[in-house]
Amino acid sequence: MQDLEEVKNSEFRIQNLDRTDLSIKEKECFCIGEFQVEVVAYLGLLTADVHYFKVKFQSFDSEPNIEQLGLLRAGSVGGSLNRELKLRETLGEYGMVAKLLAHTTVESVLINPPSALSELENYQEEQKQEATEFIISDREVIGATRLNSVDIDTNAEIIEKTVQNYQITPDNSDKICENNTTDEHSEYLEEEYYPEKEISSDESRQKLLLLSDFPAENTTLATWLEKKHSSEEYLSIAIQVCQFSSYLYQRQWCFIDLLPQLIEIGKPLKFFDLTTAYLVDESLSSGLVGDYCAPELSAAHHIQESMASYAVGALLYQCFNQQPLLSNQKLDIKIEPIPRIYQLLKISLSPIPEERFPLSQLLGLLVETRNLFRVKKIQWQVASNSTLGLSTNRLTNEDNYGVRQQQLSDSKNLIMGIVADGMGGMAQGEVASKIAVKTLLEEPIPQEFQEEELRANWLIELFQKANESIANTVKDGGTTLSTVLAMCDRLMVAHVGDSRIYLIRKGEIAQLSEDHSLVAMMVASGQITQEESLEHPDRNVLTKSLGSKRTLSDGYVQDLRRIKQELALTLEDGDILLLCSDGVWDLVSNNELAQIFANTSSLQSAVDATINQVLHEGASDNATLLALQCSIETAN
Amino acid sequence: MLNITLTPHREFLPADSPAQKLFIMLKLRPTKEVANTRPSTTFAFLIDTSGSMYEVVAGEPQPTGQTFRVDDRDYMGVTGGETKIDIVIKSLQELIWSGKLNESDRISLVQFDDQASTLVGLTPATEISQLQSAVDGLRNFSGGTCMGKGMSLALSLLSNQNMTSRRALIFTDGEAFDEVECRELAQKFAQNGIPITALGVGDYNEDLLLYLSDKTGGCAFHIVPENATGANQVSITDLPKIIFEQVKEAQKEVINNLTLNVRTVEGVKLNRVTRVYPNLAEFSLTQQPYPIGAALGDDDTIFILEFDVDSRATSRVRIAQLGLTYDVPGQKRRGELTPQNVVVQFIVGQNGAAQVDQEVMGYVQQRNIAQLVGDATKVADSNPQEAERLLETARRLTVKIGNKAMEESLNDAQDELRKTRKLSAGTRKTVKMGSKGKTVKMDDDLNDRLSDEQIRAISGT
Repeated sequence: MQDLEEVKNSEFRIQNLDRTDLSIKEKECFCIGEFQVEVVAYLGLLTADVHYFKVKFQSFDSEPNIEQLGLLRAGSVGGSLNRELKLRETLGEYGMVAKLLAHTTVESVLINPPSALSELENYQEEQKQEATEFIISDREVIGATRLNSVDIDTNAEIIEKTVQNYQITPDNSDKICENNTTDEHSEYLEEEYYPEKEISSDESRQKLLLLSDFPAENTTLATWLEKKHSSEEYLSIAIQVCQFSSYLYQRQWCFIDLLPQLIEIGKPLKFFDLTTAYLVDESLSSGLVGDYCAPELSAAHHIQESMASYAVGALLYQCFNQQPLLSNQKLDIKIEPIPRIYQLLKISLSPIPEERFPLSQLLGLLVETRNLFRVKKIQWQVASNSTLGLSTNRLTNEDNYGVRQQQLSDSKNLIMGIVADGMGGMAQGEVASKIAVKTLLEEPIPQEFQEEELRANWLIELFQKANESIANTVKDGGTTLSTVLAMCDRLMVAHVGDSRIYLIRKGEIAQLSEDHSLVAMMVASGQITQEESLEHPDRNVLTKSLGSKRTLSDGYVQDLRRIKQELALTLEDGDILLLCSDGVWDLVSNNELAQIFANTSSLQSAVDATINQVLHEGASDNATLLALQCSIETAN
Repeated sequence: MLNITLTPHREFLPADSPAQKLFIMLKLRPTKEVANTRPSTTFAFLIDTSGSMYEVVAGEPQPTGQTFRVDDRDYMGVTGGETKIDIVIKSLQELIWSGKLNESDRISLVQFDDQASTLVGLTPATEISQLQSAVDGLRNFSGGTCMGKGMSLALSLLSNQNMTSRRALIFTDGEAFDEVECRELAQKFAQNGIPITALGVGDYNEDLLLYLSDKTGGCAFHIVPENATGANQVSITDLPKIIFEQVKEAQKEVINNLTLNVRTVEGVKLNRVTRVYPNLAEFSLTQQPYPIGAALGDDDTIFILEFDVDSRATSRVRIAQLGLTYDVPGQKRRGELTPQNVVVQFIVGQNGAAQVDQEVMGYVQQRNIAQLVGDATKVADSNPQEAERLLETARRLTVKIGNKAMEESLNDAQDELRKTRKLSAGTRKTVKMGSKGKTVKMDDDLNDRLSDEQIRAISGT
């Protein structure tokens, strides 16, 4: 610690160090440790016994004229600031606490002394004439005078009965009641101002001064709280505060109130002020009220963990209600009916301290709640239509399709859309496609399904299984098989053959499947053009299908990696997935599909419109279209 | 004559902050000289003489085999046992014969059923035979419950009596037919500085009785046939005792007819005036000056004044002016407290935690608990789960404060809610009356009152 002697001896001699009193008020310059400090503004008595100032400072060592904003706090030697120093000692270097640049004890400090007595008198004169005017025009004088009244006496004894109570002695209070001196005519009392109170500070002018950086105003928690944020963001902030509070509590300290204007939002949160932390079981000599203070603190209690839980709860309340909890609501609070948040608040803000969560439990619950809030709610709309078509050569519909939807847990749902286009004589194609769809619909979902790799393997196994069954059952027949699998908002595909999978996002259509056909190969190798491929006589010849080989080689089943590098893509709200057999895409172009789905109000009518168009175009093949549309909402 | 202290719950209020609350504790304590006076007392006993007062409620009655029909209700004839009216008569007789009253204590007796009549006007307590025959006369009536008529008679007897400790004691066992009149009359009792002690047994309307006692700064008791548990509950066999205590208390009220005058500056509003010690009473703020009851000679009488304060710039400013007038009946003097300015300093940066006076906050909390209980009884039928929760909160806070009697009242109610999912009329009365019972003095350190361990033991957690 640096004492006054050191400050005096330093090379920088600022005005009032010549005198014995160090006067701290706006525009004053002085030194603290190795810093030269100029007071910019008085912030007030944010903690009951500590004065807060915004200052500019520069180090003696640094280049001249590099000034930084700092937070200067002045309080009594045995008070809150001293407690903070002890806590800082316990914490050491801790990422969530803004570093202290300097601290020093000064023998005699005057906080905001009046500029001059005459000014005070002027101010009283003026205010009588025009109260509002003086407030605006005479701000500086107010600044100077108001502060005397709270000359700090940090022994937590600001409320002192002798000063504060208006003792009326029997002698001068009793009068025979003849006339009432109050003026009954006007509805309200006249405004009457008094010189702001001066408390004699003879007891101790010795002050502890702490200097640290000043939190950037636009990144403080106070500023952040003024705007609306998502539930997830609110929870993230509460989690960090709770984390900090738990960390302190593990070291026997309880963080019972918050000063949001001195907490900086960042990664992680940074606390600039620790005066609201007390040792567990410390007993208070006076009651405390504040936006985040547990109600029992008003009647002065021993400091307990439950008070720290309350403070976190009160912050969370403020987040979800856009205003701090008013003290008169504290016995029976009204809470927004948001599941989980409601219970969390109700319990952590209980007027009964024993009912509140311990910090560690609260932290766990907050994290769990945030994770649940992160989960997006996905709902699927499904529409389908299939037609035999108009070909005189075909009297059976060899297409098959299916949809499988399953809720795996509260937060996880799964949907599978399947289309298979069978081929082969004697209705063998119909059997093949049926087996393929059935296999995919009926295979149980494995327990381990969280990782995308596992899901991809599972899909390939299903294709293998379907392939085997078809090969065992059907002679001279096979099928295409295209499937989409969406687990929550992660989409995967598996595909063999020339049916197609499309994604329509915001009116744009993209094909997620490859065509395993001869013409596609010829286009790819440049033998024919895309246009020629549309009319090519061999356009029904497949290069891959299920049922033709006993086992499927690696890479036989196409997944998203062929298109997008990754196994899965993230769905967006409103995305439409289309699965169709070649009977559809042969006659309706990609752009036409996109247009139909963009311009038709319901999903089913878009599907029906597409199939109608297929029929109008001649429908030389079976045609099947399955459409899945997702709507995604994040909680709140 | 009267020591008065005004203590705000906090010394500084934050500047430029809207919708603030300021609690001011008004503490009255008579000076020694006044405390030693003995005011004369003037009592009006208002006794319900409706048919139901003839129900047997104590003793071991033997059926006679006969039945009676009174006021459209059938009664079985019994011998032995005591009826309500028997017990009231016995209580009043005991009071008259107690020898503790002298000629400065005057008593009058009013009966009410369908009609009301004065059985005896204000008579010195030493005129025993005259009072005795009036008391015996109580048995000659029956009918409905027109309490307002009785109150109106009592008011005319008491209102022109000055410099004496006056009180009206009402004993009723039914729903008053003329509730609106009763409520209007309560206001007049209050303006005249006459506290009402309301005793209810059976199917009375507890909201009305609490209104009468609240507005006049009196008190209310729930009389039960069985043993009493909890605050403000009295076994009917203890009726003589409670009546006697009320007279004794009136003798101790060395200051009465207290009225409070409050003026505020614009943007400041007096919201509530509650007596918080020695027991709770919520006064009405309909008309200045506000009558706020009496003060005992041997103890503090404490009020909490709740103000709403609008946003103000940094300043030290007068926000209100309080004046008090009162009688010192023992000295036949009228006293006045010259208007006192309530000056508050608004300062910047008090938005963080501020130090507050724990004594004031302790009383505010006791006041709030009573309100919580009131809220619980209101929702008990529609939402028993919520009521149970509110009562649990109230009960545990009560345990912390150490108010044993009130805790007992709450225990029963909670049990009943848990088991039956509703509150019976009787329990509802117990709880409501109990919440307006005696409060706990706050001037010693709360922390010293009960250790955490004791609290755990009491609350069974």
